[in-house]
Amino acid sequence: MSAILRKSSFFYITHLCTFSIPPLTMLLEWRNRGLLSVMALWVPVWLSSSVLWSERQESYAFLRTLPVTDRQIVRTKFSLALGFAVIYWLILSLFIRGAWGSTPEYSGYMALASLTCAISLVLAGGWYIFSWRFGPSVLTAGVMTFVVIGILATWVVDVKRMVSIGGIGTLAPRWLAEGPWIYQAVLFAAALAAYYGLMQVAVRVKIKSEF
Amino acid sequence: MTPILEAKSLTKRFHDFTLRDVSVEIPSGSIVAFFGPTGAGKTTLMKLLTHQIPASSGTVRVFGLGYDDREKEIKNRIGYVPQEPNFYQDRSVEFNARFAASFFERWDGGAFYRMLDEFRVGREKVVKRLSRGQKTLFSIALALSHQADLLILDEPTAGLDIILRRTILERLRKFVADGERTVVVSSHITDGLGDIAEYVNFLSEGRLIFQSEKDELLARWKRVHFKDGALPPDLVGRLSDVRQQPFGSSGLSRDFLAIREQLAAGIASGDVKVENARLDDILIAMHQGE
Repeated sequence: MSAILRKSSFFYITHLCTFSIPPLTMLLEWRNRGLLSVMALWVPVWLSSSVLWSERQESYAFLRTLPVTDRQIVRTKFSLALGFAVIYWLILSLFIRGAWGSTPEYSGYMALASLTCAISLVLAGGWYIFSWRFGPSVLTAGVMTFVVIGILATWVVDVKRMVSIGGIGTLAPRWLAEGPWIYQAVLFAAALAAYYGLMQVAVRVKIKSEF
Repeated sequence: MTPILEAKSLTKRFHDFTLRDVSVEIPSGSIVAFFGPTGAGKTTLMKLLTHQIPASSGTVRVFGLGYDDREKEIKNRIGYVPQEPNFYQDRSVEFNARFAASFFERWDGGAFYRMLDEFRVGREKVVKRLSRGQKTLFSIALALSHQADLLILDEPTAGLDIILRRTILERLRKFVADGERTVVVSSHITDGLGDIAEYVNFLSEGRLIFQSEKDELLARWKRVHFKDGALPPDLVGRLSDVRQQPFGSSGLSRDFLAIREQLAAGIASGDVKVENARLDDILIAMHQGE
């Protein structure tokens, strides 16, 4: 399993860097803390993109000749996406605390980061199922469309909001941003439960998959 | 004796092709060949036997185990050479080998690299730069390097020159020499494989139309050469693939044992000669339904 993990991790790491380094550089350069919101909003984009490229470079025909089961492959891939989503959430949390820790906007940004990470996780599981059901070509079309829309939407929303209200931390739902910490814990638990459910579906899809 | 591989009523439906109701039992310690024309379903069958694709219906058991619950154990003991090896194309031979090695319990790196050198496949070479033949050789080296008990090869000699083809066939022969390991091989040509196979199966249009021990097959199918007029017309009518030749005619008998006595006089007088039929001729005759 570690061979699959190592191989697929490469794509997650390169995409994480691709989508994180530019806003981080700008953050350090311009001292505009609002850029952290871009990083938060891009989580679904980079995670989807990571799934896409790791799947495009995967050779299931080769894997099927090796002593590894579809169930193990699915678990490995899902664990990888989960691991990176959690790592990214931790990184975001640190940056958000550093940038907004003592301000009223902090909880809004944290809520936004938690929300996008939770959604991204479920989305990543969905992309894997999509790929094993319809093949990498259809996945490419789906993810690329999503990525382009995601980047454009982020840019449009970000510019408007940053100019008018100084950040998009306010995009997070009020009940999540202003509620007790347990709300975010429940959000993660719900996301993990959905993700686990998707993983079970993914095993069935992968077993029947010919891609 | 328990077969090393057993398939029952295997069916696989595609939108434009169906492999129907294939049942086979592969005895241990033998070389079993599946022949058939292009598009007969050989690759589909090999993929089903190795669980590369799910069957629409039917079952496969290998070493007495089912893929549903013992897939990892089975695949640890199988060496599979697909018709189109699908490695990580942008990575080196070395990377792909290390990747594969990490999954096998009984990987023999020394044997693998010796074979790679023998086959002259560069370990640093990127897979997509390998020729089709080199990819097959790389695949064969992988399949032979984890001490498999069963080798399943799909068109392994396609794209190889005559020297390498002979090398591969010799390796297959050695693989089963101890009588405990088994080779299942598919091919659209009988050249070479027909010589080493002990069991012969023939697929045509998605059906397994024939399976037999090769010796039994060759005992029944003979090519009969005869001078014109040496055989009665009804006997000639029972021959197929009748050809006119400078010294007379020849035809294929599908049941030589039944007509042997009728030929005895002709054989004694020298007007009739009998020789083993070529496997190709037999398979073509079967394909044509004769």
